[in-house]
Amino acid sequence: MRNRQYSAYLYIAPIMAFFIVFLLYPLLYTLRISLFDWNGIDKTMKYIGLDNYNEMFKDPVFWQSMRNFAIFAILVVGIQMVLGFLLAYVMRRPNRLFTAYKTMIFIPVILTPVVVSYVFTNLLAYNDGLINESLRSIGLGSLAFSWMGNPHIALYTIVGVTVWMGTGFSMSVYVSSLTSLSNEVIEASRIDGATKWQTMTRVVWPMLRDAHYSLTIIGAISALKIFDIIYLLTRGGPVHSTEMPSTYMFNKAFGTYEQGFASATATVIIVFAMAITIIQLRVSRNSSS
Amino acid sequence: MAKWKWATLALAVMILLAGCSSNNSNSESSAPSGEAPTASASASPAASPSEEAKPVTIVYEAWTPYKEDMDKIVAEYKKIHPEITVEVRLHANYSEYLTAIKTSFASGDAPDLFAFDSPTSLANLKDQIEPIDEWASKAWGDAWKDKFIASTLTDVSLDGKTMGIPMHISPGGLIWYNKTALDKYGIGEPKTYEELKKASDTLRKNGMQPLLLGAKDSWIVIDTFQTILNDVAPGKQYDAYAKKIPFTDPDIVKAFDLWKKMFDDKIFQDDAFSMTEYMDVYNAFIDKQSGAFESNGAWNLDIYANADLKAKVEAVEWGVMPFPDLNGDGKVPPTLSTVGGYALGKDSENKEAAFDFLKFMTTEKGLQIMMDHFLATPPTKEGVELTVTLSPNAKQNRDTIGQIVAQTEPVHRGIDNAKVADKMYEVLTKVAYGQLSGADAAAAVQKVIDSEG
Repeated sequence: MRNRQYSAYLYIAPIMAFFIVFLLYPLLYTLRISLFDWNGIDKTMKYIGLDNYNEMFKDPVFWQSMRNFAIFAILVVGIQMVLGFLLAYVMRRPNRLFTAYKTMIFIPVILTPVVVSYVFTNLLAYNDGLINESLRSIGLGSLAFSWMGNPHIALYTIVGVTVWMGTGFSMSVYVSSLTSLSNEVIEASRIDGATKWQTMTRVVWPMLRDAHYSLTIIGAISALKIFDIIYLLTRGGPVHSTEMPSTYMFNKAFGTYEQGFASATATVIIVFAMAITIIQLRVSRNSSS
Repeated sequence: MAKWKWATLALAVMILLAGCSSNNSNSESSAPSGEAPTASASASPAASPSEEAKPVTIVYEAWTPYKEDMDKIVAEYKKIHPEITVEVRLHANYSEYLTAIKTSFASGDAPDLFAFDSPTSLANLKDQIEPIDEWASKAWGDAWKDKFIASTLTDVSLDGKTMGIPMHISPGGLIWYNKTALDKYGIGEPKTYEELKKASDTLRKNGMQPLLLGAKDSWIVIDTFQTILNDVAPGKQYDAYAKKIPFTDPDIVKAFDLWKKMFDDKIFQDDAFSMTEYMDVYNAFIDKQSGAFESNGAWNLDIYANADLKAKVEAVEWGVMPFPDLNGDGKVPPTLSTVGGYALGKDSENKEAAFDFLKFMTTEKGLQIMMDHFLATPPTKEGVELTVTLSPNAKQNRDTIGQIVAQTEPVHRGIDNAKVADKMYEVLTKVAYGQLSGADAAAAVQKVIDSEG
């Protein structure tokens, strides 16, 4: 009996080793560094306890990055889910044209952020970008905004670009969920006199609960981790209007050489990501039960 | 219970791993400063690398020079030292390089040779740098410093040690202009703030952007503002960084107010903070020619070597000038002395070969290759005759830069402390957007200066 127990541990050893080396160790190492004043290069590190955390929680830029994250996450996750669902629902029937549309909508998902940022930098340029030039040419020059240079608009520009990049993914998740949905339920609702709108919102939408939860969790965590597209488009500016926890952390690590401070930010991001996941899973389980 | 045992064991292994790794990093020792490099494996400056003819690979990491130049340098060096392989890690720009080099050091993958370009990076990389004094003495004799222009060595020195071989002389804080466009609209080279404002208004009326500034990049914002500071409050910023005077000095506050005024007067292009200097502003100035002025350094001379834009560069007459007299005292601000150098890695296992390559690259054939591209003044007293034929416009601008430097001795570029530099960029952005007054901006910088021991 005891031998069998040990052999069980042997079987899980590879994944445990992977977990320890690639997840647990880096996490604990980050936690350790967050307690030091260290520039990330020198061999000397000065232990300062929780000073990095104190300083971070007192920094208004950190709180602005958290506010930006909240706005960004709510808008991106919400818009992507609704748009993705609508597109999947409208194009649920087999049709060659729909297949072509779905492929086109999915293409931005596979594009790298570098390509997307290059395209949008040119599209959104204030002076000679395609969008502003088009607006000016049709007499709508007053709508030619500084999409990435105006602190009141920049975050929403990033939201728009991210939605453009991610809606195809939401749509594909809903497409696969709709495929497994029984047509009988939809037909039954029609027979019972439900309108198309009622069928979509009160029958189909609630039945895709698992897809909603998956997309919410993936979307929220992705929003917390988002870095590339923001760094490439705005670098968190202007005046921190698009600052996210990840860009804030990056600037501390590589801009001002505060590796300990950056690790403290990383720790908070990790805790925050875990909290979001746990809360969403709990809500999901409670709803299911 | 067994589960707890396993968990405890796993944790113990992990802690041991963590302990080992930190011990390793702390226990590595390097030769004491000032001590002659030892004759171990590769650290003797006495023997030439070719004598041993032992295959050696050295790593060079930087953002400069251009890849085609670096390839030529490596190929030329290989002809003399076939036993030495130079692995080159070139990054697209300075910001990316800084991120990469820090990661290289942190991950124990440090290069043998690397570059630095500002007092901020020199201050932060100093513990990874082997001072070159001993190596230079061996290579060029005790009077080796006479080989270089004194100011270039001062720029790469820290605490009495020479931290690298200086890069070419290429001052920052200049304004480039499209003379063809200015002539078209009857605009002369602006000498005062009022003339600059008038030129900007004329250009805007004719659908051109005035002074281009890639304000998404902190370095060019700080370069530009340091130049403004040096006009309005000569020398005071350096005294303030050294805590001799407060940064809230009225003259420094005036410089912040002038910075704001330049945005209010629309002297900079629209949407400056959404454009990088490279490549957004560079392309707007050279390729699209949508702006008539560009805030940039002497290194912009490399436009004449840009094969992709050759036709556009040649079709236009370009000019370069110092910043105009902004405060009306009749003097233009001095240019900024670039603090760039090539450093030898402290932990390099191939210091001898690395320094030999560095010598070749920065003072011998490699210098010729780089100067032919940068069209700059070398850091060596001997000078370098360019082997490329310059267009009359390129030659004129190269000479103009020389005259500007001769007339106004360049002053220190950049801010040594990274946190002060970061705060400076933040407050300059806020001032430009009207979110902070000049006085509050100066006070915010002062607060960071105070907090830094």
